[in-house]
Amino acid sequence: MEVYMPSTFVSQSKLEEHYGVAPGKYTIGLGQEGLGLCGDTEDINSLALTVVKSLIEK
Amino acid sequence: MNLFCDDHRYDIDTNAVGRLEVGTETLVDKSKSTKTVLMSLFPGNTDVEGATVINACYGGTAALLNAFHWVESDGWDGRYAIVVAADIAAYAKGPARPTCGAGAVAFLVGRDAPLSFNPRERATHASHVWDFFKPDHSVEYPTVDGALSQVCYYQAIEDVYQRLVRNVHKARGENGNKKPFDAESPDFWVFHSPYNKLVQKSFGRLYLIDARRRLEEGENMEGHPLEEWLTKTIEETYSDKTLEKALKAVSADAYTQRFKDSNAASIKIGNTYAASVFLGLASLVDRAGSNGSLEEGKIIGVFSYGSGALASMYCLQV
Repeated sequence: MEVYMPSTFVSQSKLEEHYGVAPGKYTIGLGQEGLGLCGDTEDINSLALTVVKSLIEK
Repeated sequence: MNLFCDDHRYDIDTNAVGRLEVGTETLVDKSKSTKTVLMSLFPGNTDVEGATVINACYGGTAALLNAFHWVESDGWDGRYAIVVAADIAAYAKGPARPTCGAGAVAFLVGRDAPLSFNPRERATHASHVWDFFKPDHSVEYPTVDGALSQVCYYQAIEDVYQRLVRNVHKARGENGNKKPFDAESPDFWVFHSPYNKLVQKSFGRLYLIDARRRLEEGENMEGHPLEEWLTKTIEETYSDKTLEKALKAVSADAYTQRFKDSNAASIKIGNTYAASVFLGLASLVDRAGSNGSLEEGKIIGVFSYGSGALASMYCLQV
């Protein structure tokens, strides 16, 4: 089993500040600490290629 | 019997793969599938079954069940299946924006693997609902009704859970094991996780279903902490905040024990749609495997949900 996740992350507490919502709306309300983001050099095919290459070669 | 591989070192001969299937709802092209793009990693091997399955967050589970069925079928040629579940979850600005995320999981399926799947201990729920869909191909954002999707998720989990309990009892009854299957029977649970709080609330719902079943079977439920909700219609219970608190109280300890490892990754990475439930499984194998609690014989309950809606629940044994 092999996992790939993008290297860019956003903290949910920073996101709460950015959108001006009540502190805890995302971190407590949704129970989330962060989220991963792809840049414009990645798409679903590159994500899938990376994870399968890693599975078969590792 | 079908089994499921997760060896740490693979070094797979690409000719030893006879099935490759992808579950995703993120499209680069409306016709050319990600599966065919992946064939560039298998030079000289064109003998590979499987396609890309699209069904919201359920595609990876459909691909996995297809792989299980292939491996246990008469048509299996002895080679591995690879299942890939991957998605980029992007939402328009608004209440769903914090539930973005992205990730990919790939795993090997074959016989004699460390995690085994018993085809008799599974259940599926299929229905027609418009809780989440992508009607506009010029934008990557979905149209989503968050409140409806939460109820659809509850309805799906309650349906598959009741069916799974019946199927497990039927399968295990033949072996003389009469201990009833309930929410605490699996040593670990992995749920599809759009956001962590939904997983916690949905696990609590299993306790309501267990208590309602015990009442139906004639047990005296007087004094049970969920007593007042056992005879209400199930629809009345979906928006009941007092019940939500009561369910949280009865399930809190078991929730922490069974979900702390499987939820760890998605709390930080967010929603990964089709990959979500497998990211949870990988998170569990990594963390519980490292601390020694994922011992031989332990049972992992898995719940996968994809809007539209399709859902499955099954057990894996270590």
